[in-house]
This record gives sequence, C-alpha cells and structure tokens, in this order.
Amino acid sequence: MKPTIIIADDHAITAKGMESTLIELGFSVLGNHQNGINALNDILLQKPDYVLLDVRMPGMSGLDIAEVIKQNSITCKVIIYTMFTELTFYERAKSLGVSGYLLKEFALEDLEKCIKSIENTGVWHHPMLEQKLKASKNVFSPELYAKLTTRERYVLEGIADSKSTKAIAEELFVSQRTVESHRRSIIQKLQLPKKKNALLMWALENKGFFGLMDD
Amino acid sequence: MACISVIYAQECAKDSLMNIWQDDTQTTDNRIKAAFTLLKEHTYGIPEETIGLSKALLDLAEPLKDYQTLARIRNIMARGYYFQGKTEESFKQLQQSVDYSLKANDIESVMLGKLNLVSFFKFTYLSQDACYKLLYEVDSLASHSKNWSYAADAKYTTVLIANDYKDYALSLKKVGELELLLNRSELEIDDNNGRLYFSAASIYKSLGNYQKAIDFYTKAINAVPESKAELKVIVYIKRGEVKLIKGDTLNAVSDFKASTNILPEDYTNSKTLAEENYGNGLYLYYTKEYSAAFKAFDKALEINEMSNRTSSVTYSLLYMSRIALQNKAYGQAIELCTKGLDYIKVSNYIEHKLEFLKNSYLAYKALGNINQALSFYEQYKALDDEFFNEEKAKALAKQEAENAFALERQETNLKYEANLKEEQDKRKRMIVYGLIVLVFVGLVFLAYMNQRKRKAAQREQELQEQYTHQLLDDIEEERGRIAGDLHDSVNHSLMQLKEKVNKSMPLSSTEISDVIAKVRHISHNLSPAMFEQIGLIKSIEELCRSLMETSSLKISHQLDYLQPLSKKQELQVYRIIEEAMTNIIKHSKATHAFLKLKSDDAGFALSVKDNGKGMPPQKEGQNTFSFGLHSIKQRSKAIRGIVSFTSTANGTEVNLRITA
Repeated sequence: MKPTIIIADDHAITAKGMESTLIELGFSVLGNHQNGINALNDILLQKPDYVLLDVRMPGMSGLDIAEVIKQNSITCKVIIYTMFTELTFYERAKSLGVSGYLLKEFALEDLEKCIKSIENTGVWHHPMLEQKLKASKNVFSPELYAKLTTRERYVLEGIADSKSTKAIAEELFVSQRTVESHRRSIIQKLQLPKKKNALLMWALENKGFFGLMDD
Repeated sequence: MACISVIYAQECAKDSLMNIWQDDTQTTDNRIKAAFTLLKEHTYGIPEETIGLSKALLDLAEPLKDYQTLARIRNIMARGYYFQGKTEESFKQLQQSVDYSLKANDIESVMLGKLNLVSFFKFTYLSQDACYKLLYEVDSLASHSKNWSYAADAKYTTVLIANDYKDYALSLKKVGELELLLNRSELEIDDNNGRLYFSAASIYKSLGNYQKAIDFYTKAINAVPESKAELKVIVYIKRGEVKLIKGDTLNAVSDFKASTNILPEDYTNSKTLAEENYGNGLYLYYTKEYSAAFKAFDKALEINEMSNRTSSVTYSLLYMSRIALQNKAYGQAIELCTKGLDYIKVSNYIEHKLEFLKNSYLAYKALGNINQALSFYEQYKALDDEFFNEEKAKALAKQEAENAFALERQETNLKYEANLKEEQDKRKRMIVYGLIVLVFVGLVFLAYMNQRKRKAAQREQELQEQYTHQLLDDIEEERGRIAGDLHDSVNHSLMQLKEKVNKSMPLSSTEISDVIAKVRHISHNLSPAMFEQIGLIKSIEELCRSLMETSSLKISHQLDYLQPLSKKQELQVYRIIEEAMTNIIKHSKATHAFLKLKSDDAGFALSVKDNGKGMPPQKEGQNTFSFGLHSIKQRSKAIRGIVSFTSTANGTEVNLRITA
C-alpha cells in the first residue's frame, strides 16, 4: 500500500515541485489545493496518512487546519512547510504537535529526510528553528529577576563585577557561607542550569539589564 | 584639582609676599599694602597659612602704628585661629582688632570685628545680652554711616540669636525694622544692596516665609555686581535650597546650575570654591546624575576639610550618604554618616544629625545588622521627638510674640507714617514723571513684543515646513533605498544566476538561498510579517529576536497586554518601538535594552530603556537631530499618545502613554 498525502499550498509552482518529489518518494497524492478551506474539507473526507500544509493560504491558514485536525483526533501526520522563520509560527505548530516542520527554502532537499525521520521517530523539525527556540529561552527574564531580594541583587552585582565570594561577604559584613547560600537561592530563582560557572556566565551576560529594571 | 589650585595659588602668593619684602626699593608702606592685599585674598584659605601670613605681616606693620591695617590683619588672623579651633586666641585677636579699629576711627572694621565676635562666640564666650549689645552697636554705627548692608547684617544676626533663645518679640521687632530699611534702600541705591537683600532673604527663610525669601534672593542676585562673584554663587545656592523646600525642584535645579557658571577660571578662594562644588553637587544630584554629584560633593568636602571648616562639611556629607544609600553602597554610607555625626558634635546641627542617624539606621538595616540598626533607630527616634517637641514649642512662642508684635507695630506704624508722608509726597511727583516714561517705554516694548511674536510664529511655521520636508525626503530616501536594495542585491544576484543558467553552469542551492534571504529581508522591513495575523505582542517578540540576531544588542521585554489597543494604534506602537530600537542600535552604543509594555484599564504605557551613552544635548531650534525622534513624536501624536524622552549619560528612556 502506498502512503497517501494531501498538499495545500497557494503557490502552484512549489506545490507542483513538492507533488512530483512526493510521487518519486512513493507517495500517492490524493489532492493538491490552493485554498485552506478546500484542503480541510478534502482532508476530513479522505483522511490521508500525511498532509503537507503551507502556513499562509487564502481561506484558512495551515496552522488553523492543523488545529482542526488535532481537535477532531484525525490520525494523520501533519507536515508544515513555510517560508516564515518566525518562532511565533513554529511555537504554535509545536503546541499542535505537528510531525514535520519544513522551511520552503530547503523543502525539496529536506522532504525525504523528514519523511524517513517521521516513519522512524515520529518527528522531524528543521534544526535551525530548534536552535532559534533554544536561544530565545536563554533571554533575560524580568519576571524571574523581580523575584530576587535586594540582598540577592547586591550579591548578583558583585558576581557580575567579578568579585570573589570573599570580597562580597566582606562588603556585606556577612560570612562567606551566607553569600554561598544567596548564590544558591539566585541560581534556583533564575532557573539556571546546574553547570559550573552558569551563574557567573549569566551575570556577565546580563549585567547590563540590572540598571534598567524598575526598583 | 580645585584644592591643588588653591594650594598652588597660595604658594605663589607667599612667594610674591617674600618678593615684596625683599624689595628694598619699595617703601615699607607700599610693601605692607601689597602684602595685605594678598592676605585679604586668602582670608578663607587654609588656617595655618592664613595665620602664618598674618603673623609675618604683623611683625612688619607693628612698628608703624598703622592701627587701621593692624586691626584688619588681626581680624583675618582671628578667623584663621577660629577655624583652626584655637578659639581663645581667636577671641583675643578679634577684641584687639576692634580696639585698634576704634583708635584708627575705621568704622567698617569696627563693625566687621563686632559681627565676627558675635557670629564666632555667640554660644561660647558671649552671653545673650553681650551679643545683643554688640549687635546694637553695629546697627547704630551702620545706620549713622548709612552702611545699610551692615545694618541688615546686624539685624539678621540679632534675629538668629533671638530665635535661638526663643526671644521672638525681639526677632519680630528686628524684622519690622528691616522692612523699613528695605523701603529706604529702594530710594538709595548702593552697591551693597546685594548683601542687604541677602540678609533679608535669610531672615524670611528662617521665619518660614519662603516666598518672600525667594523674592529677596532674586533681588539680591540682581543687585550683586559682577565683581562680587562669590556672593552670587551663595545666593543662587540658597535660593535653590528654598525652592527645594517649596517643592519646586525644576527651578531649584536651574539655580544650582547657575551657581556653577559664575566664578572666573582662575578663582582661588577656597571657601567659595567649596561652595561652587557644593552647588554643582546639588545640581547633579537633583538631575539624578548621582555618581557625578557624589564626586562634586566629595570635592567640596575635601576643600572644606582642608581649610578646617567643620561647620560646612556636614552639608556635603549628608548628600554623599544619601547617594551611597541609593547606590546600595551601605558600608560607604555608614562610613560617611559616622564622619558626619563626628563633625556634628561641633556644629550641633540637629536636622543634619537626624538624617545621619536615619541613614545609618537604613544602611545597617539593609546590611542586616539588626543590633546596630535598632540602636541608630532609637537614637533617631529620640532626637526626632525632642526636635519635634521643641519645634512645636517654638511655633507656639512665635505665635504669641506675633500677636503681641502686631499691636506694637500698629503704634510704630503711626509714628513712621508721619515721617513717611513727606517722603511719599516727593515720591508721588517722581511717580507721575515715572509713569509718563513708563507708558512710553511700554509702548515701545509692546511693539517689540508684537514683532517678536510674529517672528516666533514664522519660525514655528518654518520648523513645521522643515519637518514636512524632512518627512517627504525620508519617504523618498526610503523608496530610493528599497529600489537600491532590489537593484543592487536581488537583481544583481539574479543576473548572475541567469548567466550561469545560460552557460549551463551548475547552480548551488546556497546561491539561491541567498537571494531568498535578501528578498525576505526587504519585504520584512516594508511590512512586518503577518502583523495582522499574529498581533502586536508576537510581532514585538519577533522584532526583538530578529534585532538580536542581526545586532549585538541584548533586548529583554515585559509585556502585559490586558487591554488591547485599536489595530491602527497597534501598528503605530510597533513602528515606534522599531524606531526606538533602531535609534538605540545606531546611536546609543548600548549593550542592553529593556522594553516594558503595560496596557490595562488605567491606560497604555510603553517604556524603552537602554544603557547607552544618552542622546546628545539638543539645541533650541535645531532640527538636525535624528529623524527617528521626530517620527516617534509624530506617530505618537497620531494615536493621541504622549511621548517623552529622558536622557542621561547612563542611557536613554523613551516613554509613551495613551490614556484610557
């Protein structure tokens, strides 16, 4: 039995390209739509094994289609392919549990890799997006920073100024153990990874923000 | 630097003094005169130096029996001893100075000596009555010789002492006299009016009548001649301080600023230099330039400490401790407070003592040293209560005295009215002439104002046109840039690809990816991807991410968007953020930026802060500043928002507010 697929993309040329590649890969293409609503109707009707969805389409976006598929518990593997590299779309796609996420630019090369990976592990997302997502999680969070006490902020500033625990302890007239416990509390509150020098690295990177936060 | 220049100047002065002594071709008289001039210039210098100079000069002048000069030298010497802490010696020298001045019939010097006696020793060697007597003598002498500023000084000092001894009846009587004096001084314009007004203002300040105090400080500023720069510095600082009490920080700041622009470059009087630094400190402090302010206060402190002026140092220390607290440098704050409390043992200035205790308490509290914090809090509380009770008692006594004085004053007024009537008749005639001149001047002035107004309107229109032109220019420029981008990058790359296809050369995928990225970049700049679909908040997040990818700026944001704006407003807000961020990246040299957005029932507020070098100061009428700012202003105007820019050397903040 050949696996079945429905394509939805309002760009006829890229859609054609994808269709022929899919046929080469042994797929049976059940439909090729340029309008989101038509595509969704066809998907609900034919229940293919796979769907390949562009994000921006007239009628209905690919992500909205994926949402309906998820809500109706239709067992078909969703592959999103888009020219947008914005994380907003990727995050939504991830939350909808899509199996594949391709960037149009590389879609023809990546398609085979993506299908194989989905068959084996159930999922393939373009690595660039994963990287971007990871980087964005590392960004300074004012909400977490706000949880620090005045004391902890003082210690943090000391760390950012490359002061030793001893020096900070002397400045605050407390023992080094107290400063150590402040450090632990800071690491916990900022949800930093338990790696060596994680706090120092974080402090050096973000000390420019300290002065910009509200009192 | 200032201290060094003081020392240096004094070294030079000493050298010159030596030269004059050794110059035998000069008469002794001339030598003394020259040396005395030098000494007078360093009246406020380092006590040791002053005393040394005076002693040497006394040795030279004594045989000549020139009592006038001798008296003046002793007066200066007494000041030196006083600031050195040798009060007994100082008292002796001052008394001698007064005696000599009497012998020489030098009335001004007599008055100066007596005033110094009172202000130096009012709480030590002199009883209340002795002070009053001395001041009364000065007052009579001054009135006889029509030296109104001394008369005012005497009255002012009397008021201070009377207030201290809670003798409010006398204090109010002196104020009444002073008011009469001021009325007279308007008739007899004189170079010393500046001092007179200054004294009057100080009295009103001590009485709590701040508006009148400000009025007289202003009069004093206008009356002080350019040559007396030192007085001007002090008057500006004092007026600023009163404005602060009144809560008018904005104008106070401009007074403090003014106090720093008066002294000539090569000025050496350390007392006034300290004051100038103090004024500069206040200016910086109230413009929130805390670290610079700290430096300025430190300088003032250093100069004052060097000259041993213990009564002045607490002022600087107070602000320094405040700044240290603010900077969370608690150890430093404690150190400063301890020093301040030490000095206060001498000057016993309660209000300062209160704040030092409080700041110590706060610093220890912040450090978690509860025992010390409690101890200071208790001291503070006890003193505060005592002070409060005393102030209450004072206010009561004052009120009583005021009631009594009102009656007495009515009688006095009747007496004075008769005297004044004659003068008033004279004045009435003057007023008629004056009015004629005034009407004429007024007409000229009106014509002038009218012309100025027209010019201002014209200028406004010109500016508006300039902005419009700039806007149009910018649109053209933008179009040109897009065309350029399309032509240079995209078209060029496509041509290369076409060439390769024509020659059947292999095409690499990265070459095509490159073209795709270029097109995406251009189209994204024109209109943010799917702004409509993903909304303001997601678009802002994407913008920040993309800016962080393409620049080295780090951006953090806090977005509480509970009450959405209209779509039209959203797009303008997005553009404003984009503009602000572009400015930061292009001009500010900032490494970090923080974007805060809050929209709820209370309204919409946006703030974009950076830690860059701030905007360059803007000159009036100049519109060459970044078009970005103008565009932000225009955009916020279009959505009925209020935008403001705050810029210091530590960064810039753009604030946008839209009321609900």
